[in-house]
Amino acid sequence: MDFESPDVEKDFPGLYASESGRKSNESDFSDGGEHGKPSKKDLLGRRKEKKEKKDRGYAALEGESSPEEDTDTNPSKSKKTKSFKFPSKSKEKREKSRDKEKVLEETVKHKELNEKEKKKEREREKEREREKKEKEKRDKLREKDKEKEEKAKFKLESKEKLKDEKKDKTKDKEKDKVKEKDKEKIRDKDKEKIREKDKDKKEKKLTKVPSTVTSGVPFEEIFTLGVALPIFGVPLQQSVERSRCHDDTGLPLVVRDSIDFLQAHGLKSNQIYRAEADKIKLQQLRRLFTDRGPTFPYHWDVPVACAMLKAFISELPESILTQELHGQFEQATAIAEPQREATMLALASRLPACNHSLLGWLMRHFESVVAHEQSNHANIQTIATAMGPALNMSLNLLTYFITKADKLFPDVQLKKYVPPLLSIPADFPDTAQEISAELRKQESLLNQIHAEMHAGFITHARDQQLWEAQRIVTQLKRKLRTVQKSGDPNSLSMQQHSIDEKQEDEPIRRNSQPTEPSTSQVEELNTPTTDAFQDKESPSLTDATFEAEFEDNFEFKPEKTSPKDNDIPPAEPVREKPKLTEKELKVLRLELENAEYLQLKSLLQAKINSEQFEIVKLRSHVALKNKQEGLKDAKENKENYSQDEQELRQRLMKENALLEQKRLNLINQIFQERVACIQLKIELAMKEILSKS
Amino acid sequence: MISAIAYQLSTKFLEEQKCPHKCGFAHNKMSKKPAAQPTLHKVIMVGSGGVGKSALTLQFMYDEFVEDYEPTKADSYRKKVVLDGEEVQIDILDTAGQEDYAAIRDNYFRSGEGFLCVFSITEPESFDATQEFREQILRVKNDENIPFLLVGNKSDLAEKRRVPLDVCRERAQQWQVPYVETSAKTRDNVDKVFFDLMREIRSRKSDDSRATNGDVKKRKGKKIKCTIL
Repeated sequence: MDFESPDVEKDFPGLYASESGRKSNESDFSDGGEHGKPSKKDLLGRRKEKKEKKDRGYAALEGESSPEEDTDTNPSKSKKTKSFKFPSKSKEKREKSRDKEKVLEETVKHKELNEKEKKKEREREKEREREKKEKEKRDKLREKDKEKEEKAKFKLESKEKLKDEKKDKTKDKEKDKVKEKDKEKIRDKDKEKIREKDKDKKEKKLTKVPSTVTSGVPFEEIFTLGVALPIFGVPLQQSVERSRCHDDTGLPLVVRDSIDFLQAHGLKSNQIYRAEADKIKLQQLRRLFTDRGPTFPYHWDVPVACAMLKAFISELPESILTQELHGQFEQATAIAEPQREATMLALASRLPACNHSLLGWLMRHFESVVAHEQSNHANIQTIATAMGPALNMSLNLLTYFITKADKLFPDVQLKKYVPPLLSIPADFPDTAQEISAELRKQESLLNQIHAEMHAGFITHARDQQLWEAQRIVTQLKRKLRTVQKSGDPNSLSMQQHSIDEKQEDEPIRRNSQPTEPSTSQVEELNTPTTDAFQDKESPSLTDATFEAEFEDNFEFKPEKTSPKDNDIPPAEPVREKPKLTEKELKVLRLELENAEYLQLKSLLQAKINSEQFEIVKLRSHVALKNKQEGLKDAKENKENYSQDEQELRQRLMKENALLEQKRLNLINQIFQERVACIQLKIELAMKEILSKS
Repeated sequence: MISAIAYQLSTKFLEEQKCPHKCGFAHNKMSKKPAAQPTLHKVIMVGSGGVGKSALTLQFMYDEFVEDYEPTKADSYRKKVVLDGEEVQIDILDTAGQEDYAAIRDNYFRSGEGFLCVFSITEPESFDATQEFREQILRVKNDENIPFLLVGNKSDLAEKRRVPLDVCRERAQQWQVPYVETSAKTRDNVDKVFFDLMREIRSRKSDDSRATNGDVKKRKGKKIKCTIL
């Protein structure tokens, strides 16, 4: 029944990462037959453990990878139960395969026939994939003509994608193989055949999943998007591509959110990089990220954010310093000072863009953590202990990175992420700079939606999202054009230049001689001002004001943009706001309110969707459990119910009840706060509009 | 095993969800938008590059005519209009004529409810291309009766006309779709094409939602009055 976890793993990749990692480790040194048995026993014990936990309720389900399970292993027991366990196991397996066949509505035929069908299926699937990829490639080729930079990047990406997918597959196979080796010795060939059959099925399911998605229902999407396009345990580039921050940082959203949270709440907490994270909370958050769902403040706390960061980094298949450069970085620590910094800088500049920014953000973040040592008592040693294994860096190198973070990554500013707007608010800034910044975000979002749709995830909700984002892009473009027309020529050339640079997707833009000397001058003039904004923001990360803002980051509204308006250089164009009458004001207020509530609604809807998914999943767990109950031997159950476990169980149940209470309270609070936030925002927006007109 | 059962459940769930999705746009809309929101019709502009899709759209949206040509990647607009006394919203998606963005276009076609297939009467190639667009739409939507209008644009350039009127009509008849000639420059028939299409979409939707009751109202062929401006 050790299939159980891999099966689940497919639905929630990485859920059992630690477990499966352990498993493969075990099998590495368990070549002797003796070791194979306990490991199996271990797995069986784990299953029992799971069953019990299900009794404890929903929350306990996710904590399956708790370390105590390992200690359960009892070799003597395994010998005792061995004789009847294996037959029952194979029976189960047959049962399972039958179930699967029913589910897939296939007639129970000869094994070989089945296998042929499967092969065909897989081939078809592969073909489809190939077609899709070819299509993508074609698109990319077309884009190439226009954007040379993009070209190189995308090509690399697509190549990498191909490679990665192959790698993933082979990895899966390897895992299976390792397990197979484990059991080969104790199992006759008949059983192995069944096993192979199951393996085939699993693979088939993996490949089949995306095809069912095309019928397009939000539920289905949540069910499979995270499965087919995981963000944990894949190469960094891919993870960024699948779920990124839509500003220009090129960070995976998980990392950005975690760092943002820690910067806002963790710097003064003595838990930072020290406390153990709550496993259930961690799993929940992880799944939200995997399913691209929205996260809310109650999902986060300091240890969880640290653990999230750690998990993401340690699951990267490659060192963030890349295989190629890792050694050179380590060697560079030995160089004497004046040359060392130059060498490090040179090495860092050779990192791929996403690795560079991830490294930069991490180190700048660690730097600020260490800077608050007085309040959080975290020093480099603390960080090295917590993150060293994940980063796979020597203490020397990590220390160097952290202490020199500002020199090595001068362009990295820890800014809180403001997601792309869900609708254009009435008080949207009229400055070309902000419009084009938002435009870039929206285009990035659009690209991601398109990519997801090309991957086969087409749903009604995504369609709507696509139109919505497209409409915002159109609105922004129009706004930008009017702003540019009314703005003075200097700012115009500057804006156009920046757009041409960053919007590589735009085929033909009015290229107003970007090489003109005046342009660069204007740019030089303007960069200090932007830096000033950033500087102003980065210290505020630690401020209480930031924290307050952070509380309602689920509103997806850049409140910071409003105060900024006043700091904009006078070169910015005139606003075309008409005078407003009393009636219009009322309408405006209602409109604002409407927009806010709509946003809230869509967010809540998303939550509901994920809850629905949760329910279905839990039901399936229950169904499975009932089935197992029938199949299982009563003896085994008795054996495993020790005193300790019962105590643990009761304690956990109590804890759950308490947590549930807390959760309800928090939900209430959040709701009230949201309403208050909306009111305040409307007030703010109204005031701004009034002051403008 | 878990996943097997989950899969079973999910397919059931899927079927349940499919029903409202397929057979009742109105119902679907209600669940997505608050009741106060007017019905939304999704219109997609297709046609080869430079035939005036964006010009038609902008003329309809903002009463403006843009002289300079700038290829569109994709643009989306929303407007509230009064359609036969009923307030509705129209979502217009202006797609790229260039093949470069064909992949992006596909994603939009799927969610479109009605199509304006535009060509330029001064450019036979663009007329030929409509055949391809039609096929592409039918392939994506898998529906022969999808609301669809064949639009010959640039009717103000009559002296440069190179696609004869009867050829256009013939093709429209062959497809069983209405044919309208427009001019984005003079605003001739601009509102007509959008309103005609919206009526088609609306009657299509009510057909769909009333198909079960047998209470089908045909709204096709009604004369059009321009209700905005």
